[in-house]
Amino acid sequence: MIPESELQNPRSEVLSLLEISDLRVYFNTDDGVLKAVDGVSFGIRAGETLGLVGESGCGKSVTAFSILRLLPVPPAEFAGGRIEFRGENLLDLSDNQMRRVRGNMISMIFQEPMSSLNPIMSIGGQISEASREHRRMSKREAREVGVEMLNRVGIPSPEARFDEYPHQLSGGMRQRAMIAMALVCRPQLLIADEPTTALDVTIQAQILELLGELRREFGMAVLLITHDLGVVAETCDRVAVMYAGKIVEYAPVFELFERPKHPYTHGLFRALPTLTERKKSLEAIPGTVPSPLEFPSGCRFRTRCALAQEICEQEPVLRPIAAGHLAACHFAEQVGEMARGWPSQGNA
Amino acid sequence: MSSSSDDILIVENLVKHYPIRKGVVPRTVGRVRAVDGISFSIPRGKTLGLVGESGCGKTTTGRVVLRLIEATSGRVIFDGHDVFSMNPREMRALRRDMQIIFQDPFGSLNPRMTVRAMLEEPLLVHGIEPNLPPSRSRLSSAVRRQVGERIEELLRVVGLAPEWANRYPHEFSGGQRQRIGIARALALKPKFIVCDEAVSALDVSIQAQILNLLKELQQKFELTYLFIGHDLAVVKHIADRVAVMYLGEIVEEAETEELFAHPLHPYTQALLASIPVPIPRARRPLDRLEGDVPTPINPPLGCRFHTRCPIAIEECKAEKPPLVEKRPEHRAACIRTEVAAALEGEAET
Repeated sequence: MIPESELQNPRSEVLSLLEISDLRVYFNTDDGVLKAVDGVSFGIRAGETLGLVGESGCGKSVTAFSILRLLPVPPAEFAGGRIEFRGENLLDLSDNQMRRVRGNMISMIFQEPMSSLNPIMSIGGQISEASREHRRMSKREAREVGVEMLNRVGIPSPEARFDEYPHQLSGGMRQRAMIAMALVCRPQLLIADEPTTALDVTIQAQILELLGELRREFGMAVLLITHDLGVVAETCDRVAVMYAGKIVEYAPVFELFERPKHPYTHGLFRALPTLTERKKSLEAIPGTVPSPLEFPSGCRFRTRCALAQEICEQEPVLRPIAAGHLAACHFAEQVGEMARGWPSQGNA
Repeated sequence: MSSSSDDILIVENLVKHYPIRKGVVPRTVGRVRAVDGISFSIPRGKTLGLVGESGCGKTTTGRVVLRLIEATSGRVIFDGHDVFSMNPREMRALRRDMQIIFQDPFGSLNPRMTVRAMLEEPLLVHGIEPNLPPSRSRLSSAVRRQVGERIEELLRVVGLAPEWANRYPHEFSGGQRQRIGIARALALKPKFIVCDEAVSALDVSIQAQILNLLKELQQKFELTYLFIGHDLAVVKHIADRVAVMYLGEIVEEAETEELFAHPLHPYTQALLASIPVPIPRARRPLDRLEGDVPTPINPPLGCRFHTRCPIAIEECKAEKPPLVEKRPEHRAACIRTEVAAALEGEAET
């Protein structure tokens, strides 16, 4: 875990492993242009875990898929921006060059291991694919490395499992197999798209623990996409909150949870039932997320926001509020302070 | 099982086994013990939370209680009636009072029916009021007007605009669809509703709206809920009592505050310890349990949790621990609760 002081360091010239600037991804549909990602900027430093959070349809998965250019173009369209990985714009690479990045320098794991593993290819075959392609390993070498990797992710009797098929594994084991596959080439960045959402809590805990261990061991950075604020609090160093295709807040994890500066983030915390406090009724955020086909002008949250005023019809910029803490709200300074159920150490 | 006269629902030794049939001449080669002898009761106007991981039998329990699936054995007494001994006609009358809200607001609404048609159906099949006969074919204008008024009222009650009655499900967001599902469940003024993962598919901001709505409706219409869920924070928020299921059995049951403050069963403790807490400063190691849930086809002998239990001893493998009262109004099925409680105390300090 990265020390807190380091995270709040305002010097942004600390080298980013991945730097996304003003990314715009649109989809051309029959109903009009769907602006799924509309001017998103953030960076991930080597070795850190960045949480990208938001509710369904906020654009977090599209952002993730864009990094590896996994979106079909068309209907998707990169309407602007850059995705720089170690100084190189991934959007400029040819398909061949891109193939050398995927599964090698940047890997991805998905929510549904059953639908993202190939059902008619053995686990081992799928793990070996990456090392044979990127590392030019022989079949035997690839098997050795693959078995070792299965062992490392905690799959019992890896030798035997290597030749089995996805349907023969349980949900948790499949997720482990997918992690093994993603990490066999020791990528510098792992994109994890809701990696534990389909799992039960006891299995989720095992997988989160495993991901944390592997991150430290391999020194890789993780972009964790999730809607679960608990998972973010337990695992991330920094957090970017997305709403309606934009990043509305970006801060170190402690800072974000204790002093949220965007009314949306603040509202999410108030709406969340927790095990530590007993709330009579939850403070729901009124209304629903606007459709990406017809976002409101100006601040996209203003239609649901209690603080909204006339000025909110002008789009707020993502601006620094405190050290390392950015928020896109005209009234960020007025969003209430709160330490979530942790008063004694809240100001430590 | 302590059951008072004001329990609207009493479940006794409920069992649901699914036979596994194989072969050219199919014969039963095994049984999936989805629900394996559970008992509980719910006082009128209260909420029982039923929690557990996938495959623990919680959803099956909800369906069997409503007799949407026939039980293998056991008894369900609803409002003084023995549900499983009712004939189809009696059962139909009873269905007015017992309703269900499903998890998936996308899958549980007919995409080709308008909201009005969906809400109209139960009213026409069962009659608007229990004593009025159902009127299917020829609708008098008086009935038509009554139905229209009832639909408007239902939509208003769940927080939807009455003029949306002519829209189709796809025109609504997830949260709005769940409101339609709730309106449908409320149409016949039921006494009891099974909420089967009713908010699990919703985003946090919408989930809070629906949870608040469910609580409000409970107050207003004196509803009793069986709230099935896997998110313990949600269940804690809404339930008065909580029962924890593991592999078809209830392993612990208590008042909500009591259960979360003093979990006695090692499985409940592990569940609670596995939940990521949205407080970064409270970070702690999460994984307390190893391995996967065993299959309900051949559940472990003795205590079904012994294969994953951190404090299991030889005796746990031999004999099934009974669900007995360990603290006032707090039952747990474990012979090692003293040890478990001591460990829990240590973990907290």
